[in-house]
Amino acid sequence: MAQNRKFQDFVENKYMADDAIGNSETDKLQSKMLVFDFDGSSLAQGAVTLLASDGVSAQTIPAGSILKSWFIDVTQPLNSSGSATLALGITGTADALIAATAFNNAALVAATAGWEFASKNAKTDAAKSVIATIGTADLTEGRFKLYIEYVEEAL
Amino acid sequence: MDEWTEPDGTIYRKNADGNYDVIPPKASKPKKSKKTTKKEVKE
Repeated sequence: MAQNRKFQDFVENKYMADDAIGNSETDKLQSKMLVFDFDGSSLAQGAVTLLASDGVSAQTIPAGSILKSWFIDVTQPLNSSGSATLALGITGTADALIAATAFNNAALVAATAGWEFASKNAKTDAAKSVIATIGTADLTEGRFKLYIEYVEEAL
Repeated sequence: MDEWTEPDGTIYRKNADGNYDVIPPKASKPKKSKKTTKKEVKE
């Protein structure tokens, strides 16, 4: 056998395939993120189902996810002529991220909002929609993107 | 999930546009006060 100074074909392809690290090896127990859109088209009291970041597609948190943290990226400040509150959560647990909070609370204002831990360590037993509940009074304006970090449970 | 009840009794019910109506828990009825009879005051 000739000397192979560049290690070409040093490891045969069949062995590389055996040792390859694919998605199934790296995908476990990683924090994941989904972004949801509140487009401000529904500002009356009630609960709004948030869409994917494109503002069109439906999107859910996958089954078997443990909610970890969230960040609200306010693109149009929330406003109300009354004492509107906002709660963020998922179907089945409307306050899974934050319980009803005044629309002008620091946690919901762009200048002061930061990453917050999910208020409840909710684990999804099925795919869940993300909802924003407007309470006490209507909002008059407001738009935001909601970043949600979660971990898929170990199986 | 089309409908569920939160721990505080609030009901979330899916409506036609895909959002949810939020129905607050029913307030408990105030207890009726017992009727009192006026006692005649004898002089």
